[in-house]
Amino acid sequence: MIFDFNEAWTRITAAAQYDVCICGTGPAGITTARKLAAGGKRVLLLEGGDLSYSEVSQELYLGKSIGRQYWHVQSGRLRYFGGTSNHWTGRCGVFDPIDFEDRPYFGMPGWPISRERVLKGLDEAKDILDISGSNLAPFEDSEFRSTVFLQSGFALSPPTRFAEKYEAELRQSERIDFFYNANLVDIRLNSAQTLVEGLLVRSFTGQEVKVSARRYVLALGAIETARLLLSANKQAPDGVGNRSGMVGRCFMEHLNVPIGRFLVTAPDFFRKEVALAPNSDFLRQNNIGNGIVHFEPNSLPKSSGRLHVFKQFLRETSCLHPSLTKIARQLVDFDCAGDGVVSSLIEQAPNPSSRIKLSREVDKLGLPIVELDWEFNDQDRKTIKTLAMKAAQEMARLDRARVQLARFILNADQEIEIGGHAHQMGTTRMSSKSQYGVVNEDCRVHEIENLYLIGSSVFPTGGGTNPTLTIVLLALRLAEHLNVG
Amino acid sequence: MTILKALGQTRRSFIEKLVAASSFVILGPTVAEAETAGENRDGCEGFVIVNGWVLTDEDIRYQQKFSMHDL
Repeated sequence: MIFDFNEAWTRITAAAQYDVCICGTGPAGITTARKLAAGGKRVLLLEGGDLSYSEVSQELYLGKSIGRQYWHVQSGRLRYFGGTSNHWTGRCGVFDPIDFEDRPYFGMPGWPISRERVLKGLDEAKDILDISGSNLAPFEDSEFRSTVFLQSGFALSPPTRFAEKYEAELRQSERIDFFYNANLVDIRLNSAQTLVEGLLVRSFTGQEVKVSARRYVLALGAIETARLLLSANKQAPDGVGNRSGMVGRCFMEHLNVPIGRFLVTAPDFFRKEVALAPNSDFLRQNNIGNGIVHFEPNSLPKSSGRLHVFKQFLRETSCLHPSLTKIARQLVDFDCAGDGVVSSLIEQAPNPSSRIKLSREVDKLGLPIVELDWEFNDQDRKTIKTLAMKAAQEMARLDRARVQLARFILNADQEIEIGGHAHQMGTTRMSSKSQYGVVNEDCRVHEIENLYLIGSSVFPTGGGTNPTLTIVLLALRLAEHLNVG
Repeated sequence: MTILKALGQTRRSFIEKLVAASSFVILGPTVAEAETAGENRDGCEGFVIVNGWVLTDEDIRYQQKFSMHDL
């Protein structure tokens, strides 16, 4: 059933004992809740935002970028029912085997669980995300016989909006009580700090209730989960689950680097999407992270503004005659069909210096706002430059295109232009040893017996593909574990 | 048109586009001179980098067949 906590807050305390309380209704939270309910568990599902977007809720995601400029602290995530699934683009892929391995050059351990264990629920996850097809991993392309690159495999979800897809089911569920406008503001532990005794939940109208369950799951995203753990510091001065100091550390993104542009020499090859994924041997030989190098032809050049008509005229005339193109470009810059840009999604190494911290400023609920100190290291620079250079070489060697690399790829003394893909990961990473992570193989906080974290915050490494499918796979795995206990 | 000639046309077309796209300056008469004039980088053996473009030796040899007036 669904309740507005602003109005029905008293119903939580009157309700029956819950087996599991889940905070967050993005793909991780909703997937976990549904699977637990299907297993017979009583679930309390809490969402801080409303059923639809509201400024009042969204502004609680305001944060500061104090390291590398990061544009997605607030805009890259959504604080209402369905979470960030309300604006994701739907690209799904599975992590490669190498993504799960220990890679000593990263300086931090890899995944403590195998790829096979993560992919166990793949068919169920595909149903949840409305994807089909089997090419979810990189595959050999008979038209591009490279010894280094495969074609990136992926499926496109419609994209699934979790709120739209599952609202009716949640309304009818007798095992899930779903409260929206229910903001988690504190985590209360027992005196030994080994158990969560309850969560403090506050409405936008000022009511506050302590809710209890046998076990608790935070599914709030990599920024917010770390923020809530760090800010719950009344009993544990460094925050909940943070004895090793790892909460908030190893913030990772998929690096979005504009590698350069290209000229097509084999137009037929680019009639399909060309996204190159390096093979594992190449990654191991070069000690670099994973990624995708994406070739996007400007087959339909776009422009707008006052020069639009003029640029269109130049495309239709001078692009047919390269010598004219050169002259025309002295007047105004424009693209010709057949040109294209090379973009990328590149794995960032887990780096303890890249981290979430708390500001002294607080939001309207009294919680400290986030300071994100996003940092890169030489390992990241090496990954970017190696993948960019090799992709350019392979395109030339196989005569599909020629690539003009950005200056910062070639010049060691020029800072690389790096953005993100709004894939926030790693701040409560999974590790079998507490010194390297916050949760264990079961996504349970190392030092607390009944607190679990789920979502991309537990990724020990970010892999070379979009994260949502893996988030859903891990949520299914967590629910299976909790259903047994 | 023979296949060879067709391939030649493709490459000529590419070189023309390259020149137009990048203010590409035609290099010396040999690959070695092109490498000297270009921007060879570590990890890019076997290729020549000119104005950021990653080119093959064959690209360099082929462009030598054209004069700037042709382009």
